[in-house]
Parts: sequence; C-alpha cells; structure tokens
Amino acid sequence: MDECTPSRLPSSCFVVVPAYNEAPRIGRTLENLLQVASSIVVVDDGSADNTAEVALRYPVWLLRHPVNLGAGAATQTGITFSVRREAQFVATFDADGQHQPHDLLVLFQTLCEANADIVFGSRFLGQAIDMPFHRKLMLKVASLAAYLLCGLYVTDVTTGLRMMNSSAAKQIQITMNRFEHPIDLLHQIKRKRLRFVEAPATILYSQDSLTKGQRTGDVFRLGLRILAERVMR
Amino acid sequence: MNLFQMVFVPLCTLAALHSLVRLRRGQTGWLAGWFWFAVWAGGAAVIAYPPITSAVAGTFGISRGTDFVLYLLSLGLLLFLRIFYNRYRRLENVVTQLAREMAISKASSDFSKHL
Repeated sequence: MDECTPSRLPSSCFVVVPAYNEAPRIGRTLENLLQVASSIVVVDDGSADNTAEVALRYPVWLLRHPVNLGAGAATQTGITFSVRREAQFVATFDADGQHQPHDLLVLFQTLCEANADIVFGSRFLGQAIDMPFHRKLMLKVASLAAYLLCGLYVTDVTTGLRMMNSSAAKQIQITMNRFEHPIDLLHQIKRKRLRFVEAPATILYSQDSLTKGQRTGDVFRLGLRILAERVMR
Repeated sequence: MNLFQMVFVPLCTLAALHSLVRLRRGQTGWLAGWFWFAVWAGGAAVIAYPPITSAVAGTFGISRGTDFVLYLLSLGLLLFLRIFYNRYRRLENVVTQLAREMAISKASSDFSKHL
C-alpha cells in the first residue's frame, strides 16, 4: 500500500480532540476514531460533566484543563503535547461526532500528495448533511471575513478537522483561546508562509451539534474580537 | 453659582483634600497622590470657573474649552484602553500557559493506566 494511502493513520500521527461537556458523545466519537488512529489526545477543557471519566475508558491520552479556557486553548494544548511526544503529524477532530474518522485518511493523503504543511477538511468541498441554511450563510460570512482580515480564502474557515505536519505544528502557536482561534490560525499560516490546501470532508449535523455549536450571532462577536486584537495590539 | 457647581465644586475639593490626606498618611505613593490631587483640584477649578478651559484651549488653537476637554479625554481613554487590553491579553496568556503545563504534566500518569 502506498505510504500516502494507509488504511490506518501511523502512530506518529496524533489526533487532538478538544472536548467541553461532551460526556454523552465522546465515547462514540473515540470508538469510531480508534478505527483509524492509535495516538489520540483528548483535551478536556474544564468540563463540568464526566467527559474525562468517559474518555479514560479508552486507550487515549487525556489532558485536563483545570478551568475552561476555550476551544482554541484546548487545541493548542493538544498540539503542544503532540509536538513534545515527537509527533510527525498532528490532526484536530471535534468531539461531538460531527466528523467522519475516515476523512482523516483523506486529509493524510492530501497532505502527503500535495506536499503541504497543513490541510483543512472542508464541508463545502465535501458534504454537509442536514446543514441549516442560516449556518451555511454564517460560514460563508466567516470565510469572507477571514479573507478580508488575513488575505487567505478558505471555503470552510471554522472547520475543526485539520491536519498538519510536524514543522507546521511546531510553528503554530494559537493565542486566541476561544471560538475566534481559526482566524488566528489562518493569520499564522499567512505570516509564517505555510503551504495549506483543502480536502473534502463530510460533516453530519445532529440536533446535539446544532444546539452546542456556534450561533449566528457568534460571527459578529468573532468580528469584534478579531478587530480588537488587530487594533489594540 | 448654578446647582451643578454647588454640588460638584465641594465634592471635587473634598476629593482633592482626601488625596492629600492619603499622601500624608503614606497610604498612596507620591506620584499617585499628587496626580489625583491635581485631577480633583483642576476639576473643582474648571467647574467653578469654566472660562479656564477656553483659555487653555485657546493656547492650543482650539476655540471651545469643552472641545479641548473632550479631545483630551478621548485620546486618554483610547491610550488606557490599549494599555489595559494588552495587559489583559498577557494575563490571559499566562493563565492559559499555566493551565496547559498543568494539563500536560498530568497527562502521563493518566495514560499509564492503559499501558
């Protein structure tokens, strides 16, 4: 089998799963993820429920933030940990079951064949099952805002499905802790001249993910936070 | 003297005196003590006699004293906003780094259960 198209990810590919109050969902997510990955890092971002206890039933690394810091901080914690464990590749994967584990293999193949530093899984190049119209509109606005702010156009800026090589993982330092971190990531990709590509991914919307996910008003909050970060620093 | 002056001139004067008392008792540093004394005493003076601001504004080529005060306040607030935003971000980064190191240092012992 070609080294770019393995049936499972190599153990040097760490999959970071940031999780906040995901106890009802994370067990199934990890079961599915373990079919394609062996090095999984769950970052429990100060959950109030038993997310950590559920995660510990599986053969994964568990990192626990003592307080809730946000998805960006949890993602960076997982990346930092993976880099210290000498990961060759680092992927990020949402804990709520929206992503399909086999898409990680597509990302790995794309990263390998395109000789890129980072690859984003895009629901607009793949499939977004049961995505409401307002969510689609919100994501389009976010992509446009990201283009205006960073000068990089990605079809799916808020995707939690990404994979990067060790060089990119070492260079990226996400400092925006909460939901605005994808813009921070894009900004760093641009500033550090990392090569990025997009690959098709499938996102499955459920009632749970819609309730817990970003809301339309978040786009405006995101805009304000990014503007403050750019103007005030 | 109008109602505003009757209320705020004594209040500002008391605040200025209070700053001096705190300075004398050593409850505040000399810079902070004199700064706040100047702020409150200046406030009392311009409320009691508003043409002072116009006179000062005139030396900078601004016709109205209220405009001059407004410009100063706007610029001062923007400066403080920027300073405090950066301090807040630094503090946030320190807290995040601390939580991150705690999480990473504890990770090994959790994973060892599966080894």
